[in-house]
Amino acid sequence: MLKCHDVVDQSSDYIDGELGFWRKWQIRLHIFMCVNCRRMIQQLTLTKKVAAIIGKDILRKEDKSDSCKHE
Amino acid sequence: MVCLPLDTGSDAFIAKLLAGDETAFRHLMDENHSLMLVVARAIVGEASAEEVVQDAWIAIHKALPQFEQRASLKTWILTIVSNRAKTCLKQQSRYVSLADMDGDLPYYLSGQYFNDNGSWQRPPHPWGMNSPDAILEEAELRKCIDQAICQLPALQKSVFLLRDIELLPFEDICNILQVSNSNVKVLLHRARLKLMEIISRYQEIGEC
Repeated sequence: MLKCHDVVDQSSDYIDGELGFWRKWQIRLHIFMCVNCRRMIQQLTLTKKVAAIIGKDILRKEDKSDSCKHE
Repeated sequence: MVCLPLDTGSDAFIAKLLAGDETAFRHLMDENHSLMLVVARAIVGEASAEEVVQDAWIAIHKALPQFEQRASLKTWILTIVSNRAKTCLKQQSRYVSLADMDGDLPYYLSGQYFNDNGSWQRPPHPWGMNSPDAILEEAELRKCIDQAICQLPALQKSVFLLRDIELLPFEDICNILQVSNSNVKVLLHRARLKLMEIISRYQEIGEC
């Protein structure tokens, strides 16, 4: 049985679809039963989406040097 | 105003580039310069990154006629930056380890959130803003995330931008940054968790 700690460790691979068949099912089963891990995975998925949008802005800012520099 | 195809990966755009169209080359620079700096910084650090990228542009301009389209244009460009950066690093005889550039562990991986049997000691709080739109509409939070991305350690930032924004395959990222597949995944995971912590904290206390 996977521990919550293991689920957190592998959560990025899980949301990216990078895990093997059994591991993916073990996590799926765990988050079906564990509200905290389910919440964590939802929050990570949301973070990935939001950060991708903001990251795109950072790369596309008209300043052709590094857009982070002047922050 | 010349009307160019916006997608720098399209065949029409590449044909223009290969034909020596300077406007297309300019557009290519606009699109890729920031990302190239991110990659260069991840390998050589802040001080030499600008120089590496400038050298790389000259090399790209010269080598364009030999671009065979076996890789995507973006991967090809980033590989040139990466090679330049590695040469620069050799000249400086400086070795930058993964640990040097990786910063602190995200809280979620530091152990303090879990008890000895591996279950939650400090479970994640529910988020009030629970959709991308709700989060993006919160200007202050958006600024916090923007800053947090900018402040990621160079290698994490580079992996995060190449994967989650540019959607490059893991294999290409490994080659560009000369980092193993498992380390790329570790770096990506840490970057996301750090950004998640920022959002969590903001949702809990209303500031970065």
